[in-house]
Amino acid sequence: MLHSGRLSSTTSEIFDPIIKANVRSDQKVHIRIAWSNPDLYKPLIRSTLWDKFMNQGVKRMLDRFRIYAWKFLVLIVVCLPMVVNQGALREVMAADPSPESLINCDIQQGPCRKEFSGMTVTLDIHPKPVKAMKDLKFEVTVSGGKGTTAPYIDLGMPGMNMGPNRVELRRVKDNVFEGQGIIVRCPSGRRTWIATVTLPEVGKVEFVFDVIY
Amino acid sequence: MSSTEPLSLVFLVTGFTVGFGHCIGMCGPIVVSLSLNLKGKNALLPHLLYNAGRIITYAILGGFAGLLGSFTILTSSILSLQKGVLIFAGVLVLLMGFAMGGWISFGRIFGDGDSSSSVFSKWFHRLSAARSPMVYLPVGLLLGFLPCGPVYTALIASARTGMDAAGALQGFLSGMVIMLAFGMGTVPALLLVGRLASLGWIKSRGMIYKIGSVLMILVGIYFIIQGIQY
Repeated sequence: MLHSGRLSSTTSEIFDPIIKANVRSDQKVHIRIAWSNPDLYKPLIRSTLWDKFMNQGVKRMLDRFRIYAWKFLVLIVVCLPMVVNQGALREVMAADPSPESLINCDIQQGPCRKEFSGMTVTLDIHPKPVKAMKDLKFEVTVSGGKGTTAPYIDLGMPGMNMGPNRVELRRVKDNVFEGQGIIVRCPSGRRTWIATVTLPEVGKVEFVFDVIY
Repeated sequence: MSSTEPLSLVFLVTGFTVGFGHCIGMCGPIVVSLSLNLKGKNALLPHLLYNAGRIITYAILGGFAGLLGSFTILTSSILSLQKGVLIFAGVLVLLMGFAMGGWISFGRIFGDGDSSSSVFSKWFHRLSAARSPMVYLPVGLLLGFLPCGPVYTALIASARTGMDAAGALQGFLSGMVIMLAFGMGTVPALLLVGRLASLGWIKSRGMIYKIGSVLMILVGIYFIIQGIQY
């Protein structure tokens, strides 16, 4: 298609009517200019094509990107916590082992012991079997160390914030402490719990075990 | 009440933190379903009412936990109700998913008209076509009974404050305040999810409705199975 015209102050006066009349919006435009001194005309052509590219191509691309980015964000926000809560993500990440692999105590069979700072800390929970949503008696025995103030137990789930659930213990014998508490049930079906026994001014010991629902 | 105030603050913060993890996982699908149900209409008021209903239920449960001074008595007495609500929530999300994907024919749940006479159809049609957002308040009231670990933990604290209270009324009020604080803490996360899922700001929604439909169906089935096993 050959068109001729005089160069005016703006290139759009020449090109816009031609483009509008002959080119669809989704078509590419190739313009060949025959001019006695091309150096005078090149910057004008460049600016016209650049404007068209910016107004249509980039804008459309950015709009699409924005829509897909939002969709992706919604999916991430909605799905990620569900996936994390189910432990699926955790299981495929070697750095973050599954809660079951952390179990270091079979509380259903009897008391669990752990050595800590030259002391032996023993945890037992009654009645057996240890069930969620029941009143439970927690018993902590601390042996091998100096006399300690009453420890306390924080109950939680590995990798999941269940809120503060503390069992206060009171001394019943020299090195034996007891308290009442409840392990709640997680509707996700996960049943691995951590009992963190804190010995004030000494440190903490973690017992990880399964409860029965 | 002074001993309850710091504990209320603790559970306000707890509600806020678990809101962005646990609650999005549990209540997120329901909130997303409600948002999609609104089809781009102004979702703020319905979501506020849904959350208000949920908090009222929490506060009442907290009050009774404080009054009884026992977590286990309260939860054992509402166990069947919670099981039913979990199944109901699953059915709700499942049907909304099917309806939104256009895969069920018992009425245009998300449309303007519905001539079906079944109870479910009428209920869902009322929910979706309701001109008043007030319908979301009873939904929140009911779904506030959904079983949830952090809610149980807050109820344990409510029961403990009730045990320490001087009288029945003080026990009721102190338990109620803790659950009220906890519930309010969970609101920002769920409002954010509701806002993101309302889709009013997305131009092309067809694809996300389809993806959302499939997710809702899967979550609905999961809820129903959990409810049966609970």
